[in-house]
Amino acid sequence: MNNTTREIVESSALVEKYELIHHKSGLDIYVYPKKIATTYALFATHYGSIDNKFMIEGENEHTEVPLGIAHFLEHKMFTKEDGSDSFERFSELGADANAYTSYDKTVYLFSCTSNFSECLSELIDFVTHPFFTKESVEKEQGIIGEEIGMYDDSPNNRSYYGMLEGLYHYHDIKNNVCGTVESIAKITPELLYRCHEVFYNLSNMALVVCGNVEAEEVIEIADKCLKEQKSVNIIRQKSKNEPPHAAKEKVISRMLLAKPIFDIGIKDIDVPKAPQERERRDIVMSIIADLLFSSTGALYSRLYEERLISPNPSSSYTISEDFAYTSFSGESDDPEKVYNIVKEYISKKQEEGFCETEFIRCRKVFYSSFVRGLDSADDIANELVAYIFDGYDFFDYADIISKITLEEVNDIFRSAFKPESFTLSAVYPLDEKSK
Amino acid sequence: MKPVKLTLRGGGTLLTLTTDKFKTELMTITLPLLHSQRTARLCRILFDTIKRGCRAYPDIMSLNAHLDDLYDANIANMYSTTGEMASAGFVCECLDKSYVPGGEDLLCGTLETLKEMIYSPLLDENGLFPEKTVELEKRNLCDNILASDNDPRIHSYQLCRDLLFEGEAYGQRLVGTVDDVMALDCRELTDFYHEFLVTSAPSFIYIGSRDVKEVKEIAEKYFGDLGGGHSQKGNTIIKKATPPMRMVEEEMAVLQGKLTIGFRSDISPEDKDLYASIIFNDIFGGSPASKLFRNVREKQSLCYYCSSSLDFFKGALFVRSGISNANKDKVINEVLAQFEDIRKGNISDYEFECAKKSLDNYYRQASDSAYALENYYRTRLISEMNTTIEEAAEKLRSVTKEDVIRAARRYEAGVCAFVRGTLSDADDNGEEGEYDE
Repeated sequence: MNNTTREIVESSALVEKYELIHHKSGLDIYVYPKKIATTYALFATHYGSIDNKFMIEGENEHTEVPLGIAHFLEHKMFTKEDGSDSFERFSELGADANAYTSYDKTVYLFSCTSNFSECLSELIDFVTHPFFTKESVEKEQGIIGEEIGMYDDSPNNRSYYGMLEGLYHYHDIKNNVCGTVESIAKITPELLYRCHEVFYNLSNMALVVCGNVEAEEVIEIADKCLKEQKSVNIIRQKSKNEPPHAAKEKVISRMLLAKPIFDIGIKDIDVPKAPQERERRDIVMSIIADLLFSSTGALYSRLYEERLISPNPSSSYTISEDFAYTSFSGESDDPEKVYNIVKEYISKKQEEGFCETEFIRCRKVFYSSFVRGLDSADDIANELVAYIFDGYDFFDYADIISKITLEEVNDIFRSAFKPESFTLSAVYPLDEKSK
Repeated sequence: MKPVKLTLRGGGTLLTLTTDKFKTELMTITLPLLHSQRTARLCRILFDTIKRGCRAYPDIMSLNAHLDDLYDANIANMYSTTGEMASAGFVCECLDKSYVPGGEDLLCGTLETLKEMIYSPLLDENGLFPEKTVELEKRNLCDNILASDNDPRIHSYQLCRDLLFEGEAYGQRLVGTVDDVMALDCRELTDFYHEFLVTSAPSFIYIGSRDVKEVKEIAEKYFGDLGGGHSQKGNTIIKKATPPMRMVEEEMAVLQGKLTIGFRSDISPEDKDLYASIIFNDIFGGSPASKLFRNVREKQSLCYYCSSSLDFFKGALFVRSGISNANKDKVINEVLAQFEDIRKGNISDYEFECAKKSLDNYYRQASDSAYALENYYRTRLISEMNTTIEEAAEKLRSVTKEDVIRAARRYEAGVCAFVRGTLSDADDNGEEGEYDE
């Protein structure tokens, strides 16, 4: 039998700390006390929309499940065996409850200002006790069908997934988190139970609590609600090896909107295996994205002054265990012209390199963004769980930012952005001829 | 954390919430104005033009770089309506100096920058805002208008508002039409700018670690001359909708239909039934325990979302949902049936207690967000309500079920707007477009 062990993780510079509890059940629990009225808790599994072929170590063959099943499971978990609904229980307790699914995780959460013990017990209880029937699965297909319809009407959603389709030949990241009306029609109670059995093993999960709370209270509830569980080693079958180049140079579609929108994607194939190295690359590449595309840069200034983009384009860098990309998104009357200017600008900038002044300014922006996030219990909890599943160390972020050098940024910039890694996704109005 | 309110030299109001809860400082500087489409669009173009550069930072790159040097200090436009009044001005937010390496006072740097932007804008040789900049910002605003017109969810909501508030500024599209925007010129904008600076007594709201004395000195140092001595006051029309409910329907090339049902009551912010109406909204469609969520979504699987929202400054309530065209009548009937259910007094103890707890939780949580606190106190200042968050929570706790039923009976459904989706999966031509040049 395991014992519960505890360790403190802190940042003296930021005057912040949390406690990591290796609970005897096999679950890792993170308690982050803050002197605020709210307590925010989330119970998450490292299981998302890309985990569609898998087996547990010792099994002989992979289970293959329909697209969208992780998200479907998230919807269905709130219904309990006695017919009650966890949403209603949280409402009775005066708490706000919700859940979301991304490509790599499913998260159940609540925030409350009273009845914390009861809320946490409820959260642990419903997430660890699945109950599905044929009828309830069919009913949910109607609700999720409407959700899919809502996203299908969204030009931004279309453009974003168009970019992923342009970047990836095989990787499951290009599939919509909700699946399709056709794929969710294949979901059965048996498949849902199988996914729950595999991915909702406590060794594949994390509980994060942030706010007006002490670790002892959380441990006491975990002791009552959680039984020791044998850990499993999940083998996720990866997509076929991705070629280094983008799958398509352009993905163009048309739907109802006033002005064309675009997502430019740049595939990054150099994804470090070790989490610490991946965290560093994440930060360096995010800094590069900001240096290239932010409103203090020459590129933005040119595009804006020439009225080629609307005022608030966005950029980001996304990295996971086996894929990574930079994106630049916005509205433009001429997405293809923007695309060509971006490619030319990056090529020229790779020769010049970034300068010390803009680099130091950018580091300030990143430091400030991290510190701002520490004002909000939900930001902390959601960031922390992302760091946990990525294998990163939360408080290392500010330290890494201060140690990254301009030379390192320029070196990575010159090697990471290759002409064949680019793709353009654009959505044009229905009545506009494609350029 | 008690709000401290005082009058500044020159007649402005300062409300300070001193707390060490946040690692940031937030200050809003707004002028209370009577809302009209013209005021809204002139404010929008004016603020966007000011943010393009000033004499000290003559272009967008240098201005934004300067703000980034202040650890990404944020200066954002604000034009926010409360009933038929508007708060027009700026939100400044930055790191508290305790968390800045080197301990730099970023708030003063941010306010200094805003002062430069407001008092030393770039003007041409005729003393007008430059035509090129104004034209660009007009185009951007037109893009926003067209984007809203093409968004079925917004369009359905606007169709409902058009009819529900016919002839009232509240119901109109915020900044008017593309033609209205394009008709604006540099002279009109510059004249408006000079009027704006002296038009109304300003409101300052500060949330952060400084005490009221220090905040007063800072506000007066940077913006002691802003605004005029008097306050503009609006006359918000608050009245019940007149039955029968009117129907309006339009088509758009989307898959999913969008429904908005608008209700009006004669409950003003000063009315004794104000807090009962807030609980009524929560029971009706404000939370997952509400009648709409449990019946329209969970029991009948008719939609992904169906919820209600209340604007109690106007006595108006909106139910919004995304649904298949085929379910339109079923959903409308169910929403109205749930409304009638409450008016008949069918509120279970579970529904009533859940709503009260949910709202209690909401008000308590607001104290953990600087932006939520700012929003609460700004809207109360402009509508001359002196209720603190804690007092509002207390008033909600004392509401009875009978109070809620009485409040619900003071609402009438006025308009039902539906945007019908004309695309099915079969004729959606959006997927066909992938091609290479």
